[in-house]
Amino acid sequence: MPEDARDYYSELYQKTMKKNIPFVGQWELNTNCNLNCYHCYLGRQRQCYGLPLVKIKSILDELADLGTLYLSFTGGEILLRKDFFEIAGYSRKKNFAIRLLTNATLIDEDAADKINALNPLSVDVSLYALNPVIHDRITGMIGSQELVIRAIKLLRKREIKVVVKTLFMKENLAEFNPIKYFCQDNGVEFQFDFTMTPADDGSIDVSRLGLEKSQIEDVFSENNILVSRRQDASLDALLCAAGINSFFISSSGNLYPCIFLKKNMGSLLRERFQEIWNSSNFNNFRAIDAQDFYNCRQCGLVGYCNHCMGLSLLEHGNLLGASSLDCRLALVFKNVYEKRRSKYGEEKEELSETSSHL
Amino acid sequence: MLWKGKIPFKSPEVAWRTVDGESIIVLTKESRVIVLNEVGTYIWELIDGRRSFQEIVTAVTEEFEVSALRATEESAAFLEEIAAKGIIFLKDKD
Ligand code: SF4
Repeated sequence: MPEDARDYYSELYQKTMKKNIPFVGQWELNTNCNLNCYHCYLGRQRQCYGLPLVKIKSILDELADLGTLYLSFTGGEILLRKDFFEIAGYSRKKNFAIRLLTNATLIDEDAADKINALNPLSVDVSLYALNPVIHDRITGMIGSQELVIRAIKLLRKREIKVVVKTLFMKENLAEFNPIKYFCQDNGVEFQFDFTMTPADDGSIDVSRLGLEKSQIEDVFSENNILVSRRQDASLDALLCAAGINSFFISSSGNLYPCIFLKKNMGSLLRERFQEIWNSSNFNNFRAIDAQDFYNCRQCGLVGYCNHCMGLSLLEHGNLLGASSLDCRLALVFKNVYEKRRSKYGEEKEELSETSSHL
Repeated sequence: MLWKGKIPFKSPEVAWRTVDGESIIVLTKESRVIVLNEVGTYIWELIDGRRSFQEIVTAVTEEFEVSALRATEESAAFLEEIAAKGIIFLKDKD
């Protein structure tokens, strides 16, 4: 008979990993966008209007049957799709827990009401600066910052969870504190990143736009941001959930292990999700062993590293290398962590030598 | 009994999926998650805003081969518990 409702989430999550249940998905509904951000990982490929509604609905039906619970909708700009609320409404009808990733410029009172009716987990909004000149220069649209701020306020007025996501680059680094305080004042979660993802077409000059190592370290020290060292510093800890219990669907209907891992596993226009998910493409990918990460085997930064096979693929054309972006950030984390430890007088841990290609 | 003659329905604020025989329920506004056991999952899946409490009890009695009294008591206890968490609500049978 019924027992108490239990909080066995992590156990169940592990089960989805073990059984390769596609539990978490991200879906790029379109790539067309009303902004022209100069760091956009889509590069110049921003003209895809996405799959037709009927196809999307049939994929949603299949995903619900296969056990997908979490689904993030991203673009391009998702609200440019005329049928966006039909897609999102249908996914709620099928009981998915949804997140919306948007540049927020198209959210007015009416859209905010419709979003509220969807009960999303969150609306994740890109905000690059509180100074409108800087934000607008990054997005390439004058007035875009004002629209984003308006949207955030409209969403918060309805008590919708908002997550501000900011990629910090040379151009907007000075905006860290203004954005942080804005988020605090408005009950908004603040997530930030320093890793610029190179575009497939090579159209982003990462080294020109991205931050220096010392600049990233300063952000952490000045803001007293804690960096933790993973307890499990074995190579296995570098493996992520991509393709194991999570997936990415591109605007043209291709299935990938992750948004950053552009290894096309098959087309949902030609095959059903389950066929691709259980195909040798995916199974071979899942068979990758962390010991295969040839650059990482002797590395002392494993405990600080958010290793990404996708970045390695972009940089080296293979999944098993180490992306210089990951290595750089891992070194930053190590420095920040150790500085903090020595400041507070804790014993310094011995680390083996760092990888030679850093 | 509170539940007699009532129809339970799911809150529009939840998202959920049954994975490997267990329902996982997400309270979207609170980002909180609850996992139900096999019997809880069975009852949860019967809640569709049309079936009455009595119909759910009948189904539980048959599925788990327990007495009507036990099915009634335990179903009511379970529904009360998840109603207290704001996951389901009650409406009158029309
Ligand atoms: S720092 Fe570089 S070499 Fe070391 S584990 Fe991370 S990706 Fe691999």
